[in-house]
Amino acid sequence: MNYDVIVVGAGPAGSVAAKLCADKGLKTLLLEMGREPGEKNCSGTTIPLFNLYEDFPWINDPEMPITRNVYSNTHYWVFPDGERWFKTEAVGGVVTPPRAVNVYRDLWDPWLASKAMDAGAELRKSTTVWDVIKEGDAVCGVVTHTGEKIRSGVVIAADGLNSMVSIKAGLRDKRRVDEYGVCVKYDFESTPEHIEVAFNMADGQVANESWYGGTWSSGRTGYCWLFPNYDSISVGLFTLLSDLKENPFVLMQRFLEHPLVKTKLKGAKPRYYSVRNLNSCKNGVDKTCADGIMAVGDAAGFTCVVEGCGIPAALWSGKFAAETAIDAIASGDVSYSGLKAYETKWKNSFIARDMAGSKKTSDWLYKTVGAEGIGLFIQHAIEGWMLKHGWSEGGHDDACRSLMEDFIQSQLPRYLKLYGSLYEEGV
Amino acid sequence: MKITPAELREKVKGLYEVIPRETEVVKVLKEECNGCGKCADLCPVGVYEINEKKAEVVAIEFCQECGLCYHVCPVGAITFTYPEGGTGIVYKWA
Ligand SMILES: Cc1cc2nc3c(=O)[nH]c(=O)nc-3n(C[C@H](O)[C@H](O)[C@H](O)COP(=O)(O)OP(=O)(O)OC[C@H]3O[C@@H](n4cnc5c(N)ncnc54)[C@H](O)[C@@H]3O)c2cc1C
Repeated sequence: MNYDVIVVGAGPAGSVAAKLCADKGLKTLLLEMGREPGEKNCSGTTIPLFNLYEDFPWINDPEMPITRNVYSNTHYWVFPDGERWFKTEAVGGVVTPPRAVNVYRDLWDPWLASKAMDAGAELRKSTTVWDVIKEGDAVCGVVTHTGEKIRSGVVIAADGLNSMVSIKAGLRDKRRVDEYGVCVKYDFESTPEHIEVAFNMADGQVANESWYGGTWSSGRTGYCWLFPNYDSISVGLFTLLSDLKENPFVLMQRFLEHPLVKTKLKGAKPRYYSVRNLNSCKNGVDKTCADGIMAVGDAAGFTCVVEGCGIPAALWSGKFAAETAIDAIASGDVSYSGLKAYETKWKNSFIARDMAGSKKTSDWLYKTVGAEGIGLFIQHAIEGWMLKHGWSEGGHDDACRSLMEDFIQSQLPRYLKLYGSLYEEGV
Repeated sequence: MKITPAELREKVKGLYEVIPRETEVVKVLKEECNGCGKCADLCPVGVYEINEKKAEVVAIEFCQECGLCYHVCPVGAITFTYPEGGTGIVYKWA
């Protein structure tokens, strides 16, 4: 055996898993297909910090490469005419640590991977895993694109959304189209001065913006975002693949045509355009472990669709998998029975509650709210409302869930009324 | 607004880098393809066109390896894989 643990993919889930395994002295190999971690990755990118520093004190590092501290979220609700809007703002003062940070993945991922290397993990870059080695049903290593076979006690699949490792290992099949969303994202080069004005930062406040409704949502689901970096603006669109009737590029152009968005992007130039899938978890999470293997982060399907947010689940599932691998290797049982503690861990965490909540929201919407136009608005109202309260209360799991229950029972009629009257009066 | 794959490629050209790769990251299985055109309509970087009622990969050098086509194809006629290490789509956000 070459290694105790092989981790495939140096994103947030993989780097955390590798670091924690190496911390306990396990011989750990981290494989990444990019020439550097993060160069093939894109996200919004906002990393919520709730409870993060408690469980990952080493992430609280002044060297963390961030592009803006973020203190709150502003939600714009745009009516189906594509222009009229109103906004809701989460109240959030300037606090330390900030509620979230915006980052560039090509800087943040290498920084996180360096923590794994500092702990003693070996990082091999420019290496794609194309297959797994199996003995009977048990996974006991990987095969790289050069055909090299590397063996290990445990393999951790941290290879993101299209996880080839999970498929090869038999944890899941190709996902169904209704289990995916797609994001397109531009990075607009701007100046700090313009951004500070466009995003109302006069009092030191920094808010990310989510834009709901409008004419850029193809079908019932989707939203756009504007996240301020120091000298650039991340402009993204998310929509479900199963709802997609038009090219996401075209939907994005409609968003860019909104008068207020135009003002915010005045003088800014697109310098990057990216496309990535996002999990929608509509049909629940896949199998996440089997003999010799665990899947973490996006590879396991852990994205909270309600908040469009997958980095927290990636970090914590990486941690749960590392703890499980450490115990399993110590006890000499890396079969499913030795690894199933991983399932118990994530099922008892906010991850399972988020997944259940996402599913509940989407089931409820699809079954209960038939009419497309209003359904669109309600979904976004719920998402925004939860995000708002989730943020200000600093919770991401139970708080959100109970708020959602409350919303459905008591607040929804009010929102509908608000929507109706605003729509009639014009905004 | 409708956009042809060729127009789309013009719009996104120069906004990302693809390091030349040997691996065919997406492929159309001609016998399986029913010519529905979803891949060509929805690919956000214009990799596909429909020729003689079959999907064709006409601009693989634009592919960002997102897997959208592979998932929206209703008859499973598109294969998807990541390329050999150190190649393919890269972003330099900073
Ligand atoms: C446009 C967009 C915006 C988003 N915005 C946010 C946001 O603001 N906040 C948030 O929390 N979440 C956001 N998400 C979700 C978030 O990006 C993911 O949930 C998160 O990155 C998952 O982390 P991961 O480590 O599981 O996988 P990834 O970050 O996808 O990392 C997987 C790694 O594995 C590597 N890899 C893949 N396959 C192989 C292979 N076969 N061999 C070797 N290496 C391989 C990849 O190169 C990559 O480095 C967004 C997603 C998208 C697409």
